[in-house]
Amino acid sequence: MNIDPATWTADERAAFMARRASRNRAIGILLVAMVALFFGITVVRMSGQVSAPTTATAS
Amino acid sequence: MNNTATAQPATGVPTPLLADWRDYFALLKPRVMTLVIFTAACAMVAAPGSLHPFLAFTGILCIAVAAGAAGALNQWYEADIDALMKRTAKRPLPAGKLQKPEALAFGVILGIGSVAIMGLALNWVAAAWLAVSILFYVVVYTAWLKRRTPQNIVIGGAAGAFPVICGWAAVAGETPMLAWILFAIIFLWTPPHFWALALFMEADYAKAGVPMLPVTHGLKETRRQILAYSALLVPVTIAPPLLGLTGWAYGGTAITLGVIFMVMAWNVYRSSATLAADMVAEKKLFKFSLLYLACLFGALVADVLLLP
Repeated sequence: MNIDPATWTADERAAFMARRASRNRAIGILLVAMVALFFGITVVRMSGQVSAPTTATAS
Repeated sequence: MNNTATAQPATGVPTPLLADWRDYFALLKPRVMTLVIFTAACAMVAAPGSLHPFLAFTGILCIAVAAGAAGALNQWYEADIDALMKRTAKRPLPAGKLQKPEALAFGVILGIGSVAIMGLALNWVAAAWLAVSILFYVVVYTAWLKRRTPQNIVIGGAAGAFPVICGWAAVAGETPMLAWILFAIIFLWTPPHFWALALFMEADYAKAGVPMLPVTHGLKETRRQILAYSALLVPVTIAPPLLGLTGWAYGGTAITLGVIFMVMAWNVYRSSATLAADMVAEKKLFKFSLLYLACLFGALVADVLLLP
């Protein structure tokens, strides 16, 4: 099983680096999105504009 | 480097590769998620009450992520049979792009996260239904029923119907009769939809040992059951206007679509094709069933938004 980085070929190393970069970018975007989501939820809930349910009829 | 996945390409030479974000995205079953998002969003629009747009977006996001979590846990549990079926063999786990513990952790984290955020941002009624929907899909359908009974799709159909309840509860904080009628529509729509697919995928399911109805009871009985469930589905779709819960703009659409659905189900019932390539009526019903549900829920939203 070729999991030792020392034995990788140049192509294998390039593929690994490309995937790691892509994965890191995705995690970064997700973290920023989570921060924005929690910030937005906090702002909306603190402003008191959450919801105003009425009686249960749709039309 | 401990989390290095070892993909096994066709050449048989192992190649060290980290799982790509696309592999994780594929775990979420994005195509299934689309339908879940659509039906849940329709329920949120149809539900009485108002919700801040950002919270509405958060609610839909939570429902979508919960559906994705359920999909990831489903793939984690079913990796062995996915590898046997042509339709699912290219999924990340059977293809060797991801390891099972990674998929399990991914599904659990997303599931817990989506429920927690739904509860904190919207309300705990919706969060509880969201948790029920994930557990129902993973435990009741995937782990318990799917490999044991040909009725797996019937009871498992509830898993696909729960997002409507979650969406409604996110806005209204409760689940009245119309929400449960929408639940029943998806619940009764699921067997004809999936059995139409199972008819022309029967060989795949048989190969994997999944007791789908065409495998256990034959093609003729499956066609009879499709017709029976279609006959149950159509009256339920017409119930909302009859009970005064929607207008007749939705009612007219439901009747029109119902007639077309019944004609297609009848064509499947009359079909005697045994080869997948010859199953034209079955493929037509499968494709139309997707359009049917989209149009039905679209008509519900139009009815609520456009009519007083």
